[in-house]
Amino acid sequence: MTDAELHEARLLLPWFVNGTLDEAGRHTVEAGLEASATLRAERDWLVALRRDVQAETIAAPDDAGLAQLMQRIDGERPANVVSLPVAKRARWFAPVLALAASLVLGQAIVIGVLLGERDEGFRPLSGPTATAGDRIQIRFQPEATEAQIRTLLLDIDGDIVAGPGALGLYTIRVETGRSGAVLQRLTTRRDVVDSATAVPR
Amino acid sequence: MAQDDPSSQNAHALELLARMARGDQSALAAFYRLLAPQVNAFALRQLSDPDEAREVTVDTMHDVWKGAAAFRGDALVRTWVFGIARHKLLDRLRRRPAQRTVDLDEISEILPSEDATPFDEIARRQRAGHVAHCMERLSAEHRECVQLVFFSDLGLAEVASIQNCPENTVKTRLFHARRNLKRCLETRLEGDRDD
Repeated sequence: MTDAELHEARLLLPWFVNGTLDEAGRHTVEAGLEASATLRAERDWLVALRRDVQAETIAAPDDAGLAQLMQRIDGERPANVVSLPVAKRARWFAPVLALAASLVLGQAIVIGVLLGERDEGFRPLSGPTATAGDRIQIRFQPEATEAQIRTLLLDIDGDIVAGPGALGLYTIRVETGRSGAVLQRLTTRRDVVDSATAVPR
Repeated sequence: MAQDDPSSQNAHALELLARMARGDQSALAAFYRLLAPQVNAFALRQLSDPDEAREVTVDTMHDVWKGAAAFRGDALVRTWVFGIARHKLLDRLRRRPAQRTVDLDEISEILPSEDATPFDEIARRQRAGHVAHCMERLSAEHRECVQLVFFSDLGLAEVASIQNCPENTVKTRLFHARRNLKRCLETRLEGDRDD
């Protein structure tokens, strides 16, 4: 490996560490790592650096930010658009947000209970059955109830196999070849489903 | 940073943008929950002021709402959003009175060589507190670059797009930022050893 190639590998190292490098870049770095002990040590340091940079907890913006944003947008609405008055909305908006947050929490608990109740259909993810079937990523509406979610899962004959992720996404497994039909079905259930996308196999 | 994978996040963000373009405020609320934490973290690390960071986040999301219909999908949604946030951050930073920052290059001149402390020793001994301290002492451009790559986990092309410069400039910029961080950490670890 030439000095120039090694230098390029060193320049690309941070993106190798954060996992976003394309294939050609990955090959360059991997060749550099094989050739240079210094580069390997620097990679380990960057892994530790990334860990430490991410270790500092940053609080998410509070609901006041969202309320402020909504108020600003309401204030900009044309007069002929029907909307709740800003002042009236401001009074109910905070409790509604709090209720929505508690519903999300409740939803997570309910889904945990559902998983526990469905012993017959539940399979370990590492087994052969875990790889069978199509996968759909789904986000439920914050106000969806346990009964609605249960009914929907029975309707599409789906199992929750993962989630919720950090963004509130669940992965649902359905019979192989049925994801298209199920997605169609889900589009008619906007009362329960906020979004749904097929996971590529 | 723990998050769902970028492609599924982008697909979801695109869907929300389409709904926002039709005036759906519930989509905006969902979009806010999806990306505001990242924007807020990015702003807070640059401004070190939670109230100002929230204002930048709200301003950014407001621009997203107004520009939802115009987004053409040439870049990832988060790249577009970070670009908007960056402009707002730069405006605020420009309005601030000039602050004296310690130039880490000054530190580098008093150190004997780049490899004074091996990488593995720094990796073993460094602490998040030291890293935060040294990040504060980087130039704004270097700090932003480190944050985008190591905190937000953005790709090279995304960072170049946000920082509005060629990819090679980003690579070199981060190379110098890494060197300066390493030197700063060396001095901090020396201090620990002396205590």
